[in-house]
Amino acid sequence: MEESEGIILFQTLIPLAGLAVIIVLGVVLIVFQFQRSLFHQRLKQEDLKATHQQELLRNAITVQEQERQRIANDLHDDLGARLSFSLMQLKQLQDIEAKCTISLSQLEAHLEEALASTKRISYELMPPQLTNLGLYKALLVLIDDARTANSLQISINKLDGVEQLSWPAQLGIYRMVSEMLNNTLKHAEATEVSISLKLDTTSMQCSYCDNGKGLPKAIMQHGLGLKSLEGRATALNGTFTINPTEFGFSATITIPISTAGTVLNPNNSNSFISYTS
Amino acid sequence: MSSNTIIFLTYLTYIPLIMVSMWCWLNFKYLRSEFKVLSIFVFVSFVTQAMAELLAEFGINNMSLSHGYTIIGFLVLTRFYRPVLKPFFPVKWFNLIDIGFTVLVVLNIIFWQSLLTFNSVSLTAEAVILIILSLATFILTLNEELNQHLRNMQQSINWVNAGILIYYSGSLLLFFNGNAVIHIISRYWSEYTWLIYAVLMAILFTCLLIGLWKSPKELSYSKP
Repeated sequence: MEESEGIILFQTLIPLAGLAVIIVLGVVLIVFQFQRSLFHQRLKQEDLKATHQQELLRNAITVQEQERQRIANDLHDDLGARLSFSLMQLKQLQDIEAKCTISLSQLEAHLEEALASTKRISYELMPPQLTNLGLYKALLVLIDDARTANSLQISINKLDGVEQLSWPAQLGIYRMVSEMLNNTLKHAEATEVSISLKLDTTSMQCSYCDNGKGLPKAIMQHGLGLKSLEGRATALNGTFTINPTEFGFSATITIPISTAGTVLNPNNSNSFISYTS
Repeated sequence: MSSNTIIFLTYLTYIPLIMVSMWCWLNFKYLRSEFKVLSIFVFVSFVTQAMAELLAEFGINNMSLSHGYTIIGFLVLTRFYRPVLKPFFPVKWFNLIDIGFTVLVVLNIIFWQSLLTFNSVSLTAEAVILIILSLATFILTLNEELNQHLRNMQQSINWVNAGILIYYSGSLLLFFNGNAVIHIISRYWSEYTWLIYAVLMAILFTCLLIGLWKSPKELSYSKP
């Protein structure tokens, strides 16, 4: 009896227990594989989502810029032309109707103001310097305007080759520099601003720094202006980084050449131009 | 229970196999590729069972059929699990399992259990692998995140999977000790054991029938 129990134990139960262990291990291994695959799938989905969002952002910015261009053109070509024509006619009328000089002068002043506003809005929507002369010249005009508005010392290095960058890249960098300069003028109480452009075989870099109050923590985390800057850089597959600094504000925009356009002979050793009010 | 009653009951359990074979014969062209594979398994089982009965009737050893049925059945069933587990279980693993099992069956025939002996080793290995695959499939079908690719097939897959799990778990003990059952235990108890095995087979083919019945079908259009 004891012998047969021993046979059952060794011939049946122990090998069966072994089989059960094999089954459990097999199932655990497969479940582990499931989890691994699921993790990789999630990562892939997140990647796709991020790419999709970037694409959406890029499209939104492109549409926005196209709309700005259209409005600027309409303002300049249609409204501007009509106002100029009206002004011309008014001047002719003034010569004929000498009695009405006072009221016509007022009307003329109004029309001149309207024309100036149209030109300004049109210019702000799509700077003609950027379209006609390229990024560097457009930045010079922007700096000149800022200098006129506020007693700021602004410096920028001359860099050849930036005009060969793609239009979205030039426009993006221009808008970002414009936004940062606007922030400096409005909030920073700075006396000096330095803009440095750098181009190498892989990327275009634009460093911006001022010696103002710096950014408050709330703006650093939730500021819409900063989000817009980040969004513009991301749409160009680039980055917008705020550099840690003891005082003032410092940031770097990096746009890869693959999206910024091909530049054959980047030349970094250029003269440094300084604007002082 | 008399020996004749046991034999009669054993024959009775063949009814689900006959029914599912007929159903597959009539509906084969409407089945989707995943379930066509199961139909092939049903046809192979039907032919093997019929030949086994025929050989037994003439008193010829039919164990060689079991060797063939084991390998064909296993390869066909793993074909069924491929698309079910595919998104999370690499196809190369299935290929490795198939090759490994085929090598094991051949080695078993050459070195351990000849064509005239009960192939308990390969049957045990088959049962262990298919139990693992069916349990993994249950885990997959129960997880909302993992079963997205199964959609409308899930119900029928659950039926088929349940049949496979019950059949192979129940008969694992039988396969594992097959030779001992035949040689050591008396003929009467051996017949009892084979009745249990036949019941497990009946459960398997009933589940397969329900699973195939509920499976989504390919649409067919008749010419106007």
